Amino acid sequence: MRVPLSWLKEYLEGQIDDNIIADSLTMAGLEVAALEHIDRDKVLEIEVTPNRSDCLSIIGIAREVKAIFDLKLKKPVFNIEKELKGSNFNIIIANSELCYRYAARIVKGIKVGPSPEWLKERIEKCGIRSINNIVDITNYVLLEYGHPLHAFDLDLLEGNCIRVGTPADFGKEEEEMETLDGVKRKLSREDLLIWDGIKPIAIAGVMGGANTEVTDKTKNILIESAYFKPESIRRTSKRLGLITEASYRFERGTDIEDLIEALDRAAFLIKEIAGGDIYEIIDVYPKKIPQVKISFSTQKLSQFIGVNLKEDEIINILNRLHIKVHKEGDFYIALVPSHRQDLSMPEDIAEEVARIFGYDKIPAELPEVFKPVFEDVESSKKRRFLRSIRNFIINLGFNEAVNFSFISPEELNIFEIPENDLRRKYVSLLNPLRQEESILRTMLMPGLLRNVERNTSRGIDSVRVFEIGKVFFKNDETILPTEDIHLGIILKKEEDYKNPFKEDPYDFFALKGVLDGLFRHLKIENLLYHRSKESFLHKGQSADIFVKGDKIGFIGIISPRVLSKYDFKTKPHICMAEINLEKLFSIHSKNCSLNYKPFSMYPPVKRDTALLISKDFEAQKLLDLIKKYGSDLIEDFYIFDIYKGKGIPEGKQNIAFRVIYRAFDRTLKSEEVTELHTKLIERIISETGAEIRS
Amino acid sequence: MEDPLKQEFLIDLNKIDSLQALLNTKAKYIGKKGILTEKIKSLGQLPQEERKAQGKLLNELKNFIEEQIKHKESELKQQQIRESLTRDYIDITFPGKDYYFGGSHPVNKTLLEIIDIFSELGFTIEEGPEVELDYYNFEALNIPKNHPARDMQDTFYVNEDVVLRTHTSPVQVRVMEKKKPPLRFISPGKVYRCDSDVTHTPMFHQVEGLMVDEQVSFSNLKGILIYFLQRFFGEKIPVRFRPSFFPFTEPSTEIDIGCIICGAKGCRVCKGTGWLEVLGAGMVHPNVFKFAGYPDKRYTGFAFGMGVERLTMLKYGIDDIRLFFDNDIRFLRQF
Repeated sequence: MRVPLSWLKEYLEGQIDDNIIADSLTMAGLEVAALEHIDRDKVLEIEVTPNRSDCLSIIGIAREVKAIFDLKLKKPVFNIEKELKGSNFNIIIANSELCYRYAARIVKGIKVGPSPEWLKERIEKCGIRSINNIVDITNYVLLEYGHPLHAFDLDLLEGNCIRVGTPADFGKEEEEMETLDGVKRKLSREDLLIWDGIKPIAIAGVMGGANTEVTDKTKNILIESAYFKPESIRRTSKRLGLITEASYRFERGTDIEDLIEALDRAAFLIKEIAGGDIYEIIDVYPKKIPQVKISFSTQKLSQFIGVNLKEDEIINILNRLHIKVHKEGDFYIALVPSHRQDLSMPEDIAEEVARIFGYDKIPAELPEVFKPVFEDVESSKKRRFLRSIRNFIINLGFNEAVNFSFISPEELNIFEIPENDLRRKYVSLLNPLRQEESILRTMLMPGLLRNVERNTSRGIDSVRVFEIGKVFFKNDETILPTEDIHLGIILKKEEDYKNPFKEDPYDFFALKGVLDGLFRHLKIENLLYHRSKESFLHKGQSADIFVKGDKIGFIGIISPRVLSKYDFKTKPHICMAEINLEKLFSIHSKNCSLNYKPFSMYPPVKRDTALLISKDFEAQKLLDLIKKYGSDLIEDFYIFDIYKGKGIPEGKQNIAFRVIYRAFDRTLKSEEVTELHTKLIERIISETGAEIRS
Repeated sequence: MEDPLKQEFLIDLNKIDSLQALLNTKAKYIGKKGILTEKIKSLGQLPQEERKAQGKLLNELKNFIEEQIKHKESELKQQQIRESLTRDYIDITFPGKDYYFGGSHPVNKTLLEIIDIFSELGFTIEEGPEVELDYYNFEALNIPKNHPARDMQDTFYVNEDVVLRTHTSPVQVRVMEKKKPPLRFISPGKVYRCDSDVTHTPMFHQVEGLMVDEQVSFSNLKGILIYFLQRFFGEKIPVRFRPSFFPFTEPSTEIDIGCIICGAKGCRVCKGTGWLEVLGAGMVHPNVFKFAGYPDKRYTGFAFGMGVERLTMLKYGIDDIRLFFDNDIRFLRQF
């Protein structure tokens, strides 16, 4: 709402400082978002909240300023003769559920022409284009009183009447009408319309029809001033995608009692400016809005706000807001004026008092006693679990990404996700912003891969990012989808990546090491890596991760086929992993009770062995065999070298591993360990066909 | 007269330049078959009187040699350490191995900071689904269908009854359905609005909070939120409470802080006002309690909400909200 200060002050009596008006309005809840200087005037741009339709006018704002500064309100003074000529014109409200009141005046013998400068200037300052004197006056009164009016060319109305109702009310299914903006619009059976004896002539409260528009030729007019049900106007305006100064006010609620004054004001100004004779008012008012009465206690009100206010003070503030108050027993009764349809309960009264008193004058006090509140143990555990994963991964040098929860269904195709895969059970949006963001993600990888692609295109060669976020799956049994938290990690290096050290921080094992470290950190054991069945991963360099037969995620190098669908100029080496953290959490919380285990103080005995074995042999099998050997004396074991190539027979590889023996209660003798270790190696050889490498 | 053996030893000792040479010399004189050892062994063949005098002399010589060897050994070891310190030099300007530093996402960094501050005040954390029923997102919060307040939030719909939550307030309703006051919690998380331009992203983060008990006042709301803002932005930050409107609170307020970009003098960011809006809040609307099934008029409480991106932008001087979801490494690693 744009408010020229010069116009506003016309309605105020008493001393007021221009410089504090803006700030005071803001602090009373009418935020002045901008202040513009036009000529020597100031124009306030006020953001009126949806509940305060009474402030969508200059007089409405003046009423507020009056209350804030305790001034006097000076409404426009004008005079319309009483007992004018009757018009013999009929108004029929066919639907009083949607139209509570319809009033009109006819003015005959007017001269349509340009508006006088002062009028033009005022409405233009408020952002409304000047059209002609009649339309401009209806707009002027709309700005002044906040009540939308509409002028019809009386001579174009057929049947000497106006009817108000929906097509359904007149037994019709739908209608078509051209509105003032030159657009032909289809209207549904529920849209409230204004009709003459034959045809629709306006969309009630939204826009007039072209067929009865006031033009240069117009001699006689009918001015409409009505009250329409806000929800109905909103529905129509929304459906048509048509928001006008009128619909904006009607859907927020207008002042049903005040509409006659606005009508008279317009008729008066038309006679003054465009000449003509005003006819007697026609006012059909089938449905009254009862006056709202709110009973409240001043003591409770003070307590609720948290400041000690005297009864006089409260009543004085309410009176300044045109709210009359009287006492009934222990309570006060507030009579809400018709322009304040937003007030209905004691809390509303408290807000009125608080905002005029000044929010800034209310003391800020922490509650004296905090009663204990309890958090759900599981969810608090889970939050700590997630935080710990996040910190762990950041500390390993990964950057945390946050991607939109939307992806494109096409991305699932690029990832070659099979038709019957759970990840195809996605949730679609009815009104996505773009096709690329039209479904909720069922995996994190597409987003992270896009991040890598984008970073690469910006010349960043090495990328390590991760994301912890939700994925969504349609659930046939519930209305709402299943929301699971996933962890996605991705790392990329260019082929010509140079590292001064031998280790490759970007390969499969680097990422596997991150996951293994994470699992150890979370005290999760019994993990198994099986060759992955994921179609978007490189067959030879990927694994699905299982815990007790349940797949919790995957890790691997992205398949070149998928990679070719992305925009990479070179062939990058990309390794990715995604873990279902819901599953990981339930495993973690089952075995996270920590118990101290004593350890041996006796010295260890280490034995290293190198085996020549088929090159297809998987290391896991060797480790499993040692584990299965089940000696209490084995403390630890690990592979420390794998070698293929020069010096090793074709089709073979050399695996070297170390076993560490240690007893809990004594120093182990060398012979004892030798015997144990020899038996272990014999067992391994017999199970695998390996040979000892000398 | 000087013992010639001693003379010989001293000459040898002087030539020693390594631990190995020292061991050799030691063996030569006092080893199992050393010259001196042999001499001591052969003492028995001497006559009684001579044996005594000679024995004394030889023992003194042995002690002398042992002492000299020991001394030389420690000297050599010191020298070796000195040498190794000079020799084993590395180029310490070479980069370290592998442990590249990672960055936390600035929005999550802020989110955790907010959680920590409210934890100090004894607030717990509650979370809820991001895909939410229209009922929880709107109706139970006093925003019926066809209410103009729905214009304030452009909603993504999954179907007529299911939306992507436009705020984290539905969590409040879900908690109130299950728990009785006293309540004191915040609900952080992602929210969605059908809006995308220079200053809006279709997904962003919010933290909302709720405190409900008997006799919670507007003054308490001010107390808690000023505490929060001063912890987050510093103790000297000016704070003001403006009346505003939200369908689920009454009275409602928007909270501004003095512009930290220009020091409240007026700039582009604060649009010349010197103030920046950072929080929305208010006393919980009685209808919300009614939806939750709480007894009429028994409880009061306040709710508040803040945009995490906005707070993050202000705190770190970030001027483009789209940076948050672009995930450029050069952006992320700064936090």
